[in-house]
Amino acid sequence: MNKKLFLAVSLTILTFLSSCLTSLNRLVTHSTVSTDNRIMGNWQFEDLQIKIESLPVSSFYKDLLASVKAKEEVKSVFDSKEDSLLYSNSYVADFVRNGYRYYMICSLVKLGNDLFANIEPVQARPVNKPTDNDGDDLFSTGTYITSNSIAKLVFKGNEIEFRFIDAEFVREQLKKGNLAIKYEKDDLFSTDLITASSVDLQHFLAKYGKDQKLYNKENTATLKKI
Amino acid sequence: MFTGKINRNNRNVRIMQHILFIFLVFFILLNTFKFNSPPAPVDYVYTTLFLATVLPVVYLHLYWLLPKLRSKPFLVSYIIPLALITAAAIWVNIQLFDHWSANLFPGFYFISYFTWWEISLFFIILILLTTLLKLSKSWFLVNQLQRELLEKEKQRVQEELKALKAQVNPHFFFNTLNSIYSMSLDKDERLPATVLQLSELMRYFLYQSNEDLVPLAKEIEVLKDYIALQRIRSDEKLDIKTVIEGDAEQQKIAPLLLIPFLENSFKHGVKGDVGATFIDLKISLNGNSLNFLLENNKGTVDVVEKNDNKGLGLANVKRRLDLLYPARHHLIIQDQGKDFIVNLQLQL
Repeated sequence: MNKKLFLAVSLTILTFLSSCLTSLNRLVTHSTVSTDNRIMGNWQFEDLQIKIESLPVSSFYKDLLASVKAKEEVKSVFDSKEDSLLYSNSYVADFVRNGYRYYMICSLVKLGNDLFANIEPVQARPVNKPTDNDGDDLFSTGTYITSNSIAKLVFKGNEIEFRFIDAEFVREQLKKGNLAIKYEKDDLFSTDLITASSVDLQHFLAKYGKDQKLYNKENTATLKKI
Repeated sequence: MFTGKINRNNRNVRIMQHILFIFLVFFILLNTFKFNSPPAPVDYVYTTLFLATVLPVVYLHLYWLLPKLRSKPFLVSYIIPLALITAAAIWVNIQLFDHWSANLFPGFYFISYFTWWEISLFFIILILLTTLLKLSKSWFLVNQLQRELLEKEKQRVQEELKALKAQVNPHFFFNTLNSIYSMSLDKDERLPATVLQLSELMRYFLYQSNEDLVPLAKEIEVLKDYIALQRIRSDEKLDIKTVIEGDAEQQKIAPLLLIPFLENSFKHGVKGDVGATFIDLKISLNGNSLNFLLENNKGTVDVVEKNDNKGLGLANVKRRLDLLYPARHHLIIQDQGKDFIVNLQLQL
């Protein structure tokens, strides 16, 4: 179990930032999902070019539907009323890094006056080897468990700040016994996976989402519009 | 001063009980709310805050609303205020955990992990539990007071019975001793038997009658001895009939309960009479039902016991019957001019 969790965590970190908090459950649910189309477009983050589209009209979804193997899986997901509601109001972000194209589903939720994003990595395929072979997908290898990263979104002109929750801060608070939230500890790799429910996560961010101690510059990704 | 000290001690005990109860509830809630073992500091803060919203409702209910429970109308005086203060406290609880605690305890991070319904259940359970505790405590106190009152009443009755028994007039002993003295001067051959009977009677009066209950057969035996002695004193001009029916061996009776009637019949019949005297005694037993019937003719000159003790014997036995056989006896005393009839029905 711990190794599975580790994989989930490490893959998430690999795809974006070094120390962002990971959660087993999504922050966003079908009943709370919201949209903000300002997020769509082509963005630049350091040396990465990130494209964000609405998931139902995205090339990712079209490619997925075109894939014979994935068809049934996609169909089953979208046939579920809850998932269908969630994903039809979600976005997909893709970028290329180290020869792999990463796809992440980004779902938004408004908590108070703040907008939060739940980022869920779904696919990482070699750029020069488009194939249906599951073995090529980084996220399909081994015993992968999907985990989610949570970020507060701040729009500033033609920039978006993804302020990811600082895992180090959370870990420190958990260690001190100052934070009450469900989590799993992996002593082997010194990582923590938040296991609180979606409702609890939303309550937590509704209460503490404005607390600047939850975020820091190292875990903030500023995307500039291209 | 002494009462004041006792009141202070009782107050301290009550305060200690409350503190102990609060700690117990705190401990239970802490172990319910904690995320890890042992509980973290945040769990203590969480539990303290939760308890802080519950306790005011619990104490308002115990000391303000519960005493109004019997007031009319019940809905207005009890139910509505209880519902209002509970709803207000639940609202405070939710606000505290969802918003206010972020500013009150900036170093701690927690949210309410319960829905309003689950929080309500906590409140309801604690209110019910404390109500039951208070009611059971009150019940125990009432019970204890009742026991103490009963014990005191029992002691008072015992004292009264003891005093009543002590009042059984020893007058006849002195008279009998006088008769014995005369018999000894006359060298009467009945003397040894008479002394023996008196001795038996004295033993019974002084020792065995201290028991709460004595065998009925023994009490009847004493009646017979008493009659025999009275015969000696009355020169055998008496017409005494004694009929005993039923099995007296298995039954018990309060001691010296029947003798006063017999003594009374001798006082007012035999001693006062100048002509033929009769005493008819009939004791019938049916199961544990005793029927005591005593008839005698009244003397023409009621000269005996012209002192303060006159009439005390019957009053004494009536009081003892009320104390020892409440609702289990029926006494009829008939004064028919020449004859005097006593009928006592007793459930042994």
